[in-house]
Amino acid sequence: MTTPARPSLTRLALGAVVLASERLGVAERTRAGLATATGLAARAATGAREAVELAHGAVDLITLSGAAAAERARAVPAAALRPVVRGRAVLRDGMADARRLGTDTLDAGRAEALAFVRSNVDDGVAWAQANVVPQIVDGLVPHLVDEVVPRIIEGVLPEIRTRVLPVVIGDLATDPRVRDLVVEQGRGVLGDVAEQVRTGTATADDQVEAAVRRIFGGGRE
Amino acid sequence: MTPAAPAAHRDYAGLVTRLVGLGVDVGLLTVAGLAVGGLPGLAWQQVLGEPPGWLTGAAGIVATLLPWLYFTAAWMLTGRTAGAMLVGVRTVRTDGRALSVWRSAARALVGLVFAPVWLVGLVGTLTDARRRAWHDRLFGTVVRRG
Repeated sequence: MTTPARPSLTRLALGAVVLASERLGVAERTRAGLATATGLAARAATGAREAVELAHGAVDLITLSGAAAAERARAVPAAALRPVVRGRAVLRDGMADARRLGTDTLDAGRAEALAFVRSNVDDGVAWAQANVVPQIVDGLVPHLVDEVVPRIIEGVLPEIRTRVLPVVIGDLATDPRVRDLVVEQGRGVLGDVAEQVRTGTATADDQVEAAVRRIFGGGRE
Repeated sequence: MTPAAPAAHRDYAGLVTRLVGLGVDVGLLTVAGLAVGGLPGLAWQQVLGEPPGWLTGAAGIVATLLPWLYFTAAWMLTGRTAGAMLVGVRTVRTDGRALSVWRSAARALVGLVFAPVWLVGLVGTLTDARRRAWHDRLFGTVVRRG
C-alpha cells in the first residue's frame, strides 16, 4: 500500500477557492482570469528561480578569467539571454501558456481539495458517531422518555381518541377486504368444527356397531 | 335423475351420527318453539296489556306445528335439517332421489307423533347394510353422508 502524497498547501488553497467559486456560482470569465493569474504567478516563480541561477553564474564568470570564463559563458542557456519583450505575439502566447498552466494547477488543486474535504468529512463523521452521538443519545433518551414523550402523549392522545380512532374504525368497518376477512375466518372456524364433528360421529358409528356385533354376534342384513 | 351409484356401508349415517343431528335439531326447535309460542303474547302484554286468547292460541298452534313444518320443508327442499348439515348427512329415497312433499310430511308426522318408537327404531341402523332405521324401511329412505 502506497502512502498518499502530501498535498501542497498552495494547491489546497487554490482548490478551496475553486470549490467555493463553484458553490457561489462565480462566472466562467472570472474563473478564467483566476487561472491566468495563477499561471502567471507560477511562471513568475519559475522565472525568479532561473534569474537567481543566472545571477549565480554571472558572479562565477566575473571571478574567472580567460578560457575558463569563455567555457563557462558557453554553458549559460541561450534562452536566458533572450530579450524579455518581443512584441504582441509573444505576449499573447505567454498569456495562453499561463492560462493553460493556471487551469491545470487549479484543476489539480480542486481535486486535492475535494479529496481532502471528503476525507476529513468522513473522518469527522466516523469520529462523531463513535464519540459524540452515543453520549448525546445516552444523555437525551432519559430526558425524552421521562419528560418530553409523556407530555406529547398527554397532549396528543385526546385528539387521537376523538378524531383519529373513529375514522380508523369507520374505515376498517366499511372496508370490504376486512369484512371478507372476518367472514372467511368465521367460515373457516365453523368448517373446522363441522369437520371434526363429522369425523367423530363417523368413527363413533363404526365403534358402536362393532361393539354391538361383539356382544350379540351376527352380521348385517 | 340418474340412480345413485352403489354406496359403501360407511357412506350411510349410523346411530351416533343420527342422534347428534337429531339432538341439534331438537335444541333449535326448542328455542324456536319457545320464541314463536311466547314472544307474540309477551310483546302484546308489554304494549297493550293482557294478550287476547286468539293470539295465545294462534301462537301455540304455530309453535306446535313448527317442528313438523321444519322437518317437512328441510327434507323436501334439500334433504338436510340444520343438525344434518352439521354432521354432514342427507335424507334421500333409496334410489337417490329427493323426497316428495307427501313423503317428507308423512315421515315428519310419524316421527313427531311416535317419537319414542322413532328413537327405538334407530336401533335398526346397527344391523342393516345401509344403516336404515325402521322408519327408513317404512318410507323407503336412506340417510347418506355428503
